[in-house]
Amino acid sequence: MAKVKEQVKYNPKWSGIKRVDVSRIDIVGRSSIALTIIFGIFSLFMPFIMIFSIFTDAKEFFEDGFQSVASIAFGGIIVAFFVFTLNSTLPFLRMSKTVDKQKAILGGCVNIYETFAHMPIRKVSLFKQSFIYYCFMLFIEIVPSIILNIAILMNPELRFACGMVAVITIAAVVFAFIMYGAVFGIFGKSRASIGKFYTVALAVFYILWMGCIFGFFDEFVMAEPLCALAGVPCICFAVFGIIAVIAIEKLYVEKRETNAAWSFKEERND
Amino acid sequence: MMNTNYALEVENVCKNYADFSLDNVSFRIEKGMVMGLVGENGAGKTTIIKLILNAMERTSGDIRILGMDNIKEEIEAKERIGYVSDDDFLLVNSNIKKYARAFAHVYKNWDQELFEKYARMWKLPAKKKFSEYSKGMKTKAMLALALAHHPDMLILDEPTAGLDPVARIEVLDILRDIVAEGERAVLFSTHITGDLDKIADSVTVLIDGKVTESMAIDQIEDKYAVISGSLNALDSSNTDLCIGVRRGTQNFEALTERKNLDRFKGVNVHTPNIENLLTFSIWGHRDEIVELGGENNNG
Repeated sequence: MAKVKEQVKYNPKWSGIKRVDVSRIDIVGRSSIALTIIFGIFSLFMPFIMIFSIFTDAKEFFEDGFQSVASIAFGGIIVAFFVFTLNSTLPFLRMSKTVDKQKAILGGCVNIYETFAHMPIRKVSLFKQSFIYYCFMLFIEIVPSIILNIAILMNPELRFACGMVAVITIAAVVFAFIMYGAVFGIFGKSRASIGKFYTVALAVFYILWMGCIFGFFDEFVMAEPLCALAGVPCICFAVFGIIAVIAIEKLYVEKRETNAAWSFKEERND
Repeated sequence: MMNTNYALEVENVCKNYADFSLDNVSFRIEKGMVMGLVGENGAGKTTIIKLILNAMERTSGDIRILGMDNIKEEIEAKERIGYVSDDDFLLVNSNIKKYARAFAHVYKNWDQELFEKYARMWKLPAKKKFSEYSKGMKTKAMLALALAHHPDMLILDEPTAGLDPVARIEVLDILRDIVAEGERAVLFSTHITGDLDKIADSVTVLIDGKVTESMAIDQIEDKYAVISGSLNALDSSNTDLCIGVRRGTQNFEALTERKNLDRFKGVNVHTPNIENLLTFSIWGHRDEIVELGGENNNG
């Protein structure tokens, strides 16, 4: 048995969240940090490009058959979702223990949750740790869509892109909320029902994404009722989405999980 | 009344499922003692262990670990528990070195030298993935991780299930050495009663979610006896005094309380072991009279 080069010491000053996060990385390995950095940079790059394009040549950016804006917005959201799933310790993706390395890292949260279940760690710490990564995803999803809506408000020449911006904003907020509800046990704690939520949410998201990129929804996104939603209504919707998620987390989920038993779905096997 | 002389106190614990319930389960383990928790598959052994670890919510009852409430003082209690399970919690693509780092960050009393001693002694490769470990090696890895933070109580959930005979003997030898130190209480859940014969001080029998007996090992032979003999010795007046019966075409074997021995004429009396206590209790609970070497009859 090779010696651990640097003797690891228990640090009593660490919060439960930090303890969960550090020991999670210990178990999964540094590869999760590398993947998080790569995905994180990529997902931050998306809104950066979007903002840069809007403030340099917004008209051209939006006029490009909506392809640029759809690719960047939806791409950023899905990569941010990868960052979240990679770092969450909640057992929402029930991967087999024998899947290949990449999937095992993504699904590692399941085994890690079960490991934590008999360690001196509070369950609520796992929820708080996962919520931090969820907030990153929420930020990547919602802030760019708010910026798009502000651009629409500031530049009347961009009115032709209102429908597209409304679709992106609504999709981002609804996707973020469904993911929150599924991962944090708002929609129940059955893995089967959560799996269905994921499948439906990801399928709808993917259809919207591809549809916007390939122009299937061009007529739809030009519809006046949809265009009317862009701007102030969409900004309010996005801000309300953020407030709602934070309120549910702080006022309901964290209280529910304090001193709660660890079970996610109770299965008998004895 | 909870008492700090006990390492584990389970009092009137109930857990209801749609198709199964733990019914007022109570037992206690004194500090430094080894208790076997025995029962057939599905009796509720793992459910009790999950309830002790607060891995699932109980319907009612109290559980104290070393005098601490297992929910209100969960962190303090788990700090002093070592846990080994059959359904291993080891991530297949990780290795024991990574787990040791994680445990060192989580357990106040983590002892890296002790961990390395166990890992060397049991020949556990530090960087080999768990996917390349045998089942016996995984059990040893979990034992090394469980022991290296100096737990006062060990909870072993069928640690020898699924092991080949050589690995099972090796793991039992390790457990015997650990138990011989006599410092920590052990709850050893298993349906392989032979594993308990050499290390357990007491046994709790769990049948269909109910504790049918919880006693010291040496009390088994004081309280019970296995009787065998001709079927003529078994009649309607004494059959009900049997905990469980196995009956052949001419002979029978049964478990009964010693105080009832005078009700059975011309029988041979044997000393029961844990397996006798468990198997006859199961047959008695099912209200079955089991054919010696044959099929069961509903009684």
